[in-house]
Amino acid sequence: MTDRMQQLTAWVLDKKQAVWRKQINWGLLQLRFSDENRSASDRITDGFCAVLSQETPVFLPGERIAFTRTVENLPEPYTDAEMSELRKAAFYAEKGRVFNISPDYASTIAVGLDARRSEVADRLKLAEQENDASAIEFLSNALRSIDAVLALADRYREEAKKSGLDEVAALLAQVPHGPARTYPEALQMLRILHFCVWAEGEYHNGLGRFDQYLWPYLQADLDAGSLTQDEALEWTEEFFLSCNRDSDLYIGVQQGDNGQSLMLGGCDRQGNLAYNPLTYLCLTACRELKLIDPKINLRVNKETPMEVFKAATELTKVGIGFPQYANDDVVIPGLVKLGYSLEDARDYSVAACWEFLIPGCGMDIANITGVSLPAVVDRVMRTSQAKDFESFYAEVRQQLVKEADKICEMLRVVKILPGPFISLFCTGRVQAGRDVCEGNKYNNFGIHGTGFSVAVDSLESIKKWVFEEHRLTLQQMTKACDSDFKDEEQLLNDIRFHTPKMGNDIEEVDGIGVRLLADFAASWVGRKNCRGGIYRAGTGSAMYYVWHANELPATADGRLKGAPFSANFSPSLDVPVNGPISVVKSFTKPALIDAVNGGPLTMEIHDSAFRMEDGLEKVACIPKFFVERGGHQLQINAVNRDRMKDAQIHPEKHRHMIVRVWGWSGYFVELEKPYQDQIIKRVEMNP
Amino acid sequence: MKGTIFEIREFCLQDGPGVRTTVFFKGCPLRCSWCHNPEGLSRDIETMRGQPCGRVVEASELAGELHKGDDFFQRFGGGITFSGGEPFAQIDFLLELASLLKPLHLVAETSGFVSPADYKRGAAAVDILYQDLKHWDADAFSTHCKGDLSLVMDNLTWLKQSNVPHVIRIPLIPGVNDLPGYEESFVSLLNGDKALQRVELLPYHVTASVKYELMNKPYKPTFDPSAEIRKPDLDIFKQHNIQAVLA
Ligand code: SF4
Repeated sequence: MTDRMQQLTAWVLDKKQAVWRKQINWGLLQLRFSDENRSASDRITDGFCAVLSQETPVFLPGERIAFTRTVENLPEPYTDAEMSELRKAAFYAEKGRVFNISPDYASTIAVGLDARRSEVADRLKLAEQENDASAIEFLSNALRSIDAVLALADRYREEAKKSGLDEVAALLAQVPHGPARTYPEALQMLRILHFCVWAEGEYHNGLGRFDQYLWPYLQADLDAGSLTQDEALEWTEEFFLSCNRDSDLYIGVQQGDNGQSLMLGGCDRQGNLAYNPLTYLCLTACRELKLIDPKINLRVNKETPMEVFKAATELTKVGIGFPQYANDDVVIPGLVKLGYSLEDARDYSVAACWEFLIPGCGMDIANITGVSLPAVVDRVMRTSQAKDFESFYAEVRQQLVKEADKICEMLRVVKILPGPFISLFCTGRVQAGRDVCEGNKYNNFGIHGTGFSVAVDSLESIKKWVFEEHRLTLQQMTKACDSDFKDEEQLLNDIRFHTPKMGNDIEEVDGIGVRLLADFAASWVGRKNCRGGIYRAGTGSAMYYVWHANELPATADGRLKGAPFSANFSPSLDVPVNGPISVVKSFTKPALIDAVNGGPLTMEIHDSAFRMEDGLEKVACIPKFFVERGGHQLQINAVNRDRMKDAQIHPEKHRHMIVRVWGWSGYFVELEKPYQDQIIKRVEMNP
Repeated sequence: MKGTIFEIREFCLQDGPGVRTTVFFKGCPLRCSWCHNPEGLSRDIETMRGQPCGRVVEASELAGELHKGDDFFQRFGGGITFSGGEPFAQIDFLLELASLLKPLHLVAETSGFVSPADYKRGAAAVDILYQDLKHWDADAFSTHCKGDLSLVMDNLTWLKQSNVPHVIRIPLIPGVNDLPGYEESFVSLLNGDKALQRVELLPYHVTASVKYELMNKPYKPTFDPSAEIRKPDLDIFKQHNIQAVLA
């Protein structure tokens, strides 16, 4: 990293830009909303324009990519009371805004906002001729939004000129008015658009296939000799860093949960491998910066060269949990099976976390809600009269269908609040004269299947102890769970240590996993949602792994009350596993092509593995193996000092963390504190 | 036939070429006071953290479990490593297991404290042998490891003139074998070693005692575990044309 980048990074990490922040009292504006009975679209655009006009151009010392938020709080289009009124008539996911999609910024970067403005203005004229009220509302608000963005950009440019920041001023002389001609211009433009989407109040929207749509600009600069490789890396790093300037203002369940994800690699719309020098530059930039934003996703497939896996593993090694891998060979046919066109499917990206969707034309609500799979098993256990496991399992299948019925009932009317500005980056919305809140090419709903391994292990335990060994009845198992296995120590012991668990490549239990995932997915097949789309099943859990777990008592797999499920698609937390090979094998047996709403298998590898001779190559075999076995999504964590520190405070979250102690490997959380400290120190000693 | 093991662990990167799955055999005739695998000493099934530790398993069943990794090994290289405990202490079980695992790449880690007959049969069953060298001095060996060094030396003498590819592993124990000039003492044991690939030096780590507590066994090292280890001079090995690495 250059000195300049190091200083800039230190600046941002110290949050020095926060001194410019101001709280605005939006009371008057909000009063006007209800007094004048403004429409949703008008409220949102009024708010957006007001925020941008309140913004003050500021520049971090030495920065070249401008736009930093100074307005701390955004105006809400509706008061809480108004919002709960709206929620009576329709279901609004989360905050009700456009969220969790991947806007198409590329098309606007290519033509500039002036051109987009004329496009919108022309379309508005037509709408006025046709007297199309919705189109008129949407397009005039889109127009107002563009003007507000251009006005702020002009103020930024003037301020840059005044402050003698010639480089910044030069970029802003071209973008966002005109098309980006160079890589730096394209990055500045992307920064502005992404910044403004947040300022409109939309959140958790990804950056899409960054290396695909920006490579042509970089390639031209490299060919022309106007940028060197090193300069290109520095620009990339500066853009990545810019994603961290305001991220503490970006809401989420946890700090860092802000959906600034980007996707690298994979294939193009024709199916050709699409890795390019920018793919590698992005991996390097992220590795050098070691920041939580943007979140790096990498598309891989059977054809992906080993050097890509190696470069990615270099990034894994720094221990920030990136990249997250997505497997084209599973995701693309999975999306096609759901009705996405082959070309669109090949163009997939991720939304905020892991939900696969198509940039530009996807208006899927990918995490609309979830089904707690352990709760389904629990419910059947309480009521079933089954005499054998097959009948019991048949009831589980029925219960999954009932669960789906219930959710569909809840989602009979689903609405999204308008986003006139973000709609500019949603394919075809201007031409259609319709805000993206009314839908786009794809309007599917994603359903998480949470607590997958707890459910599978519970089914196996019931099968073995109730139906095969006849050790106890379903009623007795229910009682044991309700009592948190109190006075049932022997049973708990046998369930824990003498019952096959998913993650150890044991056919008996993995087979149940295969069925459960297939039946969960099947319970959604053929259902239409209220927005003209379908439902997509997934293996993600988001925050549900804690919420859903809290709703349940102890479970038949020996998980005690209060213990969380494992996050996403991973072995249960207290299940001993032999290692990554078995885990990959177990978790790639289910037909993941039917679970492309996404949700990764998560693994931890001690970072000493990376430092050994050939360690990098060896670790890189894991994602490659995963892809070849038909996994859909994988995240590998190099366990490092910070994670170990965290493990000391939250051991329950790190049960599978393996550390090499001395000639042997052990579970970190099982070591006594002094030894843990010792290992932490050792890690610190050998960076 | 049946044997006793206490763990199977995948992705052991230090236990041989490629990615290894290591099987830990239960039971060892030595009692090195620094031993980091106290659950590997006795052949009996014990308890650790309130859980059963150790498992009696049929060679064919174990081979079946280990063969599940075949697709990985065929694709990416690596294989199975027998460790312990002392794997050669269950030589018949090991031989049956090895014959069932072939053609997978096999490694065994041994203390060499077994009968020459067992040693030769074990060595012939694997692709690479990892031979421990704890000390050159018989008295010290007897004090710290509770065994007769001459047995190990006989086996080492045989190994040195054999064609069995092998790696020598030296645990560096503070105050026990890191005495001044220890590099020379070890090198002299390796004179004329035909199929030696390299020497690996593994410094003792204080965390060795952690598992004793988990098993409620006393940890009584015959040395000061916190003492500084004398850093090895790898050049001395180099001067004798021996490749040496510090792990
Ligand atoms: S030879 Fe190995 S297993 Fe046996 S006591 Fe010594 S260190 Fe432990």
